[in-house]
Amino acid sequence: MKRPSLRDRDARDRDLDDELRAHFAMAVADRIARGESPHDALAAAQREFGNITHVKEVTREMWGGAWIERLAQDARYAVRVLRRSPVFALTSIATLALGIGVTTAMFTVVRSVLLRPLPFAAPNELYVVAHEPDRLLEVFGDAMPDHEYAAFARAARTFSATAAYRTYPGTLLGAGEPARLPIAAVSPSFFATLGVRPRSGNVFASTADQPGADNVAIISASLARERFGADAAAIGRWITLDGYRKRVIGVMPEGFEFPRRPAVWVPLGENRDPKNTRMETVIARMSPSATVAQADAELHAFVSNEERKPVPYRREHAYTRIIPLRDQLVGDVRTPLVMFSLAVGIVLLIACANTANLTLMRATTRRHELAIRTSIGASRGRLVRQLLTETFVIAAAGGVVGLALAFAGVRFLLAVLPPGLLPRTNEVHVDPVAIGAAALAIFAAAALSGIVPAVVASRRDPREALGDAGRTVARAPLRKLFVAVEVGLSLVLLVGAGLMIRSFERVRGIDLGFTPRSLATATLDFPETRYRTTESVQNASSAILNRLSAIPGVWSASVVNWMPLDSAYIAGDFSRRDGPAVPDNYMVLKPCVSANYFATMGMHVREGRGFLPSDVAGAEPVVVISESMARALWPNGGAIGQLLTFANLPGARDWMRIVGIVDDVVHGDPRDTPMPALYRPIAQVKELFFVNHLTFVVRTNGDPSAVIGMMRPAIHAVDPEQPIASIASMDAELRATIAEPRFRSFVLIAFSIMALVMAGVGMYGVLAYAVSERTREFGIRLALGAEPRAIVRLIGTTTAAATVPGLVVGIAAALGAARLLTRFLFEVPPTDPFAFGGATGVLLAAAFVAAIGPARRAARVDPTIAMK
Amino acid sequence: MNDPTLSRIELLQGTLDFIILQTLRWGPRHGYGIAQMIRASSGGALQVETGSLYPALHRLAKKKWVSAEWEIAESGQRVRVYTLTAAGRKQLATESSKWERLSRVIAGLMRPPKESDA
Repeated sequence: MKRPSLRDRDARDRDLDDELRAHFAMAVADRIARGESPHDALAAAQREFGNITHVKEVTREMWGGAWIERLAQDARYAVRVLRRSPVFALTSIATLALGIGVTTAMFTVVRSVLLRPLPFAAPNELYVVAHEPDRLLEVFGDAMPDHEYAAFARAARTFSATAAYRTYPGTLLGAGEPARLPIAAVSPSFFATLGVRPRSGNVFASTADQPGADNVAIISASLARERFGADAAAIGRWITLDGYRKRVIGVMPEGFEFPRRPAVWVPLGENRDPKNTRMETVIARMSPSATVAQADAELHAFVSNEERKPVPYRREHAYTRIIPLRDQLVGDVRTPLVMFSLAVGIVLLIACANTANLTLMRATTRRHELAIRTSIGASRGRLVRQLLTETFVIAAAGGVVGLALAFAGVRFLLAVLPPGLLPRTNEVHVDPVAIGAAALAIFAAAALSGIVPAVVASRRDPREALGDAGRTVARAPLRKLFVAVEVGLSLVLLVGAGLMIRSFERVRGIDLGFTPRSLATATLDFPETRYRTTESVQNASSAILNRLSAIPGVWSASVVNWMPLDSAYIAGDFSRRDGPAVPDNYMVLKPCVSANYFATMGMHVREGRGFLPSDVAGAEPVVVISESMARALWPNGGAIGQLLTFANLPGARDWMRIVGIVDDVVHGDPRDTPMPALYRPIAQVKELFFVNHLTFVVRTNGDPSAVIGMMRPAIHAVDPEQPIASIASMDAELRATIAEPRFRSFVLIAFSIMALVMAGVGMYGVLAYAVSERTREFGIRLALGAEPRAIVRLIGTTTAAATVPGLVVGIAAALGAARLLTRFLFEVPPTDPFAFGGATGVLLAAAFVAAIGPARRAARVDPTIAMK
Repeated sequence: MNDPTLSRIELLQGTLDFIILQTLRWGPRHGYGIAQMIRASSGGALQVETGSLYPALHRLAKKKWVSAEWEIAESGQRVRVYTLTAAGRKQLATESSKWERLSRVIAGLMRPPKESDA
């Protein structure tokens, strides 16, 4: 059936008006004809006719399609009503905007990272296959030795395609300024396994892993854009990667950044040397007909066969597993994202509770209006509908603002997000699905915050409201319940934030073993193609050290091959000449440093001496060991003077004498226990492998930022083609290593503040309302001689009654929720009394602040006015 | 004034529709006329409220059981006159037989039970 247009409706409205008017006129005329006076006739006819508006309304409902009109009418009315109480409207809209905004932003991130399919063909068929010694898992993640991969690729039947890759930083020359970029070395089957194609050019030929054919490269869309301008300009160009010339044969599409956002993909050469223990990540596409169990069985059979083969090294216990590629990509972030989602859920719930509370209070102040509407014929359903429409208008306005917040929030989040913390961030943006989620959040918010107040408000008896409005003392258990809910939920968030802050403080308080303040660092890689010998690197390093020392404001300049906060390091074993053999699994870091390194870093030499400028190539080889190493191997002292060697069959010149013991320093993550270390003077190092990655560390007289700008020219004065991996202050490096816990604390603190503010508004509302409702009572009390202090105490009791139950429930809930955080806590138990105490204290303080205004108003009630 | 002891009979929705159709059997009539006629023919026992009458009339018009025309009354007033349609007549026939059956049953229930029925 065709729905009448609005114009039709206007005409029908006029007709209905005429029809009813005629009815009325005829009724009056009849009564007059029967002899009633015109005055009586009019009154009687009016009584008989009833409420004309009501008659019109119920008649119109028969027309069909009325609900749309009613909705529009309700919405118009709602907007009008809300404009009359802007404080209520703005508070509610702001509250819901926050709730909906953070929910939408978080949903967007969670969906992009966890829920959206990977940008590969049939991504659910992709798995990571691993077989590696247990102790390497930490270093390489799920991986497989290079030579095993080749055998596995040939043997696998349950997988239709397999590929291997490794990522590493590489030096790019021949395309603008020298740069240090992430490189992915991938087997030729890599792109076919994933089912992706380059946007221009070609993928690697199947022979690209063979020597002679491996001089090709595929570049990322962003590298093509930044360095070449257009794909056509890039294809066919020769670039130099780590000294090897490669021809660009393809450009990948925008957004393809697997694995780990490489700028360049190069062929991964197969290395058949069984002694090689290079580890690679292996991905495989499972045949549609195969099951994970079959693949698992196949892998285990393959592995036990492999492990029977003789190898020239000791077999270690190794683990084997097949996991979905998605799990491997998002594994680390699932828990924090779930945690954040719970937190935003709590924020949204608090926002709804708050709005419900505000609506409830306002419904009470609108008792009069609702009573009038009831008495002139509005049904209860009609009132509920009207009140719900109002909440919906608020939620919709909040949703629109919230969506804008979500857009801004997602941008902000991506900006403050520590790089590398979240995978797939390039795929995160607010899209129609997110907008749909926001719409859903609006409906949920409107329903959650509207239904209870609407039902409660419409239940009132109009006679009571119109008769003795203001005389009844509303106990308002529902409002207190909402406040308790808000307080409890806020407490959960505050405890979470408190635990994060405590943990973060612990991390910051870690004794690093060196003094990071006023230090600046510059990290360089010396490509083998340009620096073929150890001496050439040592010479360049000395030259750079000279230049750096000459910079004004530099107090001392030194160099180390892998600096303490670096995630990579060189570790290995050694033997000693005297005393019991070093345990098999005892590994030490093997840093190579310049003479003044310890002084520059602020590390203390505990015993013996540090390195001297005289510890050079021809002099006696010397080492300095860390305190923990000295304690482990010479528990009774006497380490100084002992001889060590790295060689398996040491000659006379291979022994190194321990000349000093220094502080332990952290390496990689400050939260890990420092590894024992064995330092060598860089001048005595012979292996190129130990020196081709160097970090220059300078201690400045004050703020390192002034010096940082002058380090690049100093380095380029020695070698203008030298790419610089990074120049930063040590404080910045330190911040980067603790960026993750800092980010988590930051997010939880932000959510907690939102929750706290909303709970505070909620408490204030309840108290302010309680005071306004009991003004008369307070007036009587004061008139009867009550001290204003007693009234204030009464408000205090009310505050406590509204807050304490929420706190109790909140503490119980927080004890449960905190267990989720255990993984992220460093040296702080999830039941940390300071976090719980602090959170409770903050909420009590908020309750106190919320109570001040209402309490003062209550104490200042003027009995003569209140009792009128 | 009506007899205050005579309580008004509450009408079910279907019943009102039936009564209106029944009333219109005697010819086209406007809303006020229908109300008056129902009151008169029930001896004042049935008072149809405007809040029930007009929704019912508009509902019947929508179902096409009655048609509505605007006419100018003797007083010069524009009035809306409702006429029973063919469909309305058919509906009325169905309803009538239903009503007759129902009233027979009710009437039977009102009579004291015979011995043999017990």
